[in-house]
Amino acid sequence: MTPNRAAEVLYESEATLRLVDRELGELKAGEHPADAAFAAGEGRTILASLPYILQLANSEILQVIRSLRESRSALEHSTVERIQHTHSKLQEVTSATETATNGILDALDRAQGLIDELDADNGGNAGRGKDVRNSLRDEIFGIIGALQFQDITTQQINYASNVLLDMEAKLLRLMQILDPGAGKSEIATKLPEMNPAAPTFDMHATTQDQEKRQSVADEVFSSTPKA
Amino acid sequence: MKFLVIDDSATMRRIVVNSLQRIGVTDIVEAGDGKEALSKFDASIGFIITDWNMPNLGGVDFARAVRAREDGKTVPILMMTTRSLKEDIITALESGVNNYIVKPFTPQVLKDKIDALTAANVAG
Repeated sequence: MTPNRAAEVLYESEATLRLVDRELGELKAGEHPADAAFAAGEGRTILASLPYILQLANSEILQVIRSLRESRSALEHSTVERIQHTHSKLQEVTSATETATNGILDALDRAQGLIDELDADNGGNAGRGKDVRNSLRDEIFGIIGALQFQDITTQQINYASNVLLDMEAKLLRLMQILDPGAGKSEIATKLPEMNPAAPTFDMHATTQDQEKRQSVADEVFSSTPKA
Repeated sequence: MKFLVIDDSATMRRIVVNSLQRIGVTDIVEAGDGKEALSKFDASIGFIITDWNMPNLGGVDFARAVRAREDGKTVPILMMTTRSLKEDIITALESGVNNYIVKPFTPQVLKDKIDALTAANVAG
């Protein structure tokens, strides 16, 4: 159903219900002019058509409910399902980078071990060989330090995932409002529960401006008297 | 001196441990969160390096818990985290943390902070 059609159905339902409400209100209050004539004439006609009006209203209401169900289903399959898929993909990225980073760290550990062996073979002799080995150690150490990116990007991904989970929860609540009688669908029941062991994150985690941010910390700690 | 390194990221723990080994620290205990770290903490621990954002028990609550213990009043605690908002840093300071490193850290900054805290602890 298009948004225009849904708006039309809503408008027609509202108009019909308003008509029924007005007629019932007038009948109940006895405000109709010339009650006697009304009961015998126009009133009787309206009363006779009341079942039809109510049937029409009922049919329009059912149409609105059908439209709401369609909206809920579209929301669930196009949006909620896609969010869940994206969340799952982000978790895969985190897991893959963690595995890869640990693989690199293992390889660097082995490389350090090999340099130590070279050192032992050469009896720790000074000279060009020792300089090269020390330079290699520095390079390896530099690479190990650079792998901190994995922790920071993991936090950034966890933050993005959390935003998606929050959106998903809000959409599921909206679906319940649209069609409370439908109960929880298979997709809705996949909503993760709050878990204290869930990954945590700093929403501002970044690899940028490290020196500037460190200087803020240094300033706070140096300007505060020690207890 | 025995170091306790706490971080929920196994990668970060390996990087910190590697940096410590490079400056001659060999006695290192690791924990994946504050809860596990509390179970491993005792009077033999001479220095703590902790992350902030961790499941189960975060770094700030861990620091408070350590400071509440009789054997944890003076042990140096170095917070190592991505959090760098001034109010966060003040919160860490108030929880009993002695110094603060913003990730990503450089080995030189780590060494300087450890040296400064160790010297201050000996002097104090």
